[in-house]
Amino acid sequence: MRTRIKELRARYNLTQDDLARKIGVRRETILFIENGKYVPSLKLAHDIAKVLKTSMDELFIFEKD
Amino acid sequence: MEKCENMDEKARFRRFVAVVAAVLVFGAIFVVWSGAVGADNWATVMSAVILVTMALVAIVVVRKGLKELKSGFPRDDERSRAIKMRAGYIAFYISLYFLLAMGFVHSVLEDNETSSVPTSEWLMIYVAVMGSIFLAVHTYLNRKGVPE
Repeated sequence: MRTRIKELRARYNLTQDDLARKIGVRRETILFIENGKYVPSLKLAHDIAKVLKTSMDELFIFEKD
Repeated sequence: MEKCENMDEKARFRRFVAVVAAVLVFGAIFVVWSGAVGADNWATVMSAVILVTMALVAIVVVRKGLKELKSGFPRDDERSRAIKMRAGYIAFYISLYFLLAMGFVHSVLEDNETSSVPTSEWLMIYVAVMGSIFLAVHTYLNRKGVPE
């Protein structure tokens, strides 16, 4: 899984800390999601997409194995 | 809303500290009591070692929790809960096999009349091993991320 979180964070000038605070998760969670090491729940993915003003489709890119 | 959530976090953290303190106090009473009733020295020393280890881990966890509470991040989120569940699951299964192996070794030693370690001490070893496995797996998963 790839994500565009980093790119969109930069667009809105948000750090990982800012994004984590807005969503109410730990900073490491954002780091692991960004690196594709943790697949978030539907609710968390929705919250991230909402803060970054995008859709989940555009935020998360699932590649075939 | 955010203030309310922070208050919830503080209340949860206070409850957590109270439970940890209660466990340590009861542990200390147990160690003192087992020493006083003349239990095997080895058992008293072993339980004291477990208690001191628990106290050290508790100090680290509480200090980390206080730091996180001050920084405004939640102590727990879905990823940390997933890690705890996965670590608990893995620790349970590994320690189950360890318990079976321990039971086997114990019965062999008993049959050969070479075992001088009573069952209560085997159980203490089991608790120490189970706790260590949980800590090790938790640390590993926390660094690696949670696999799908």
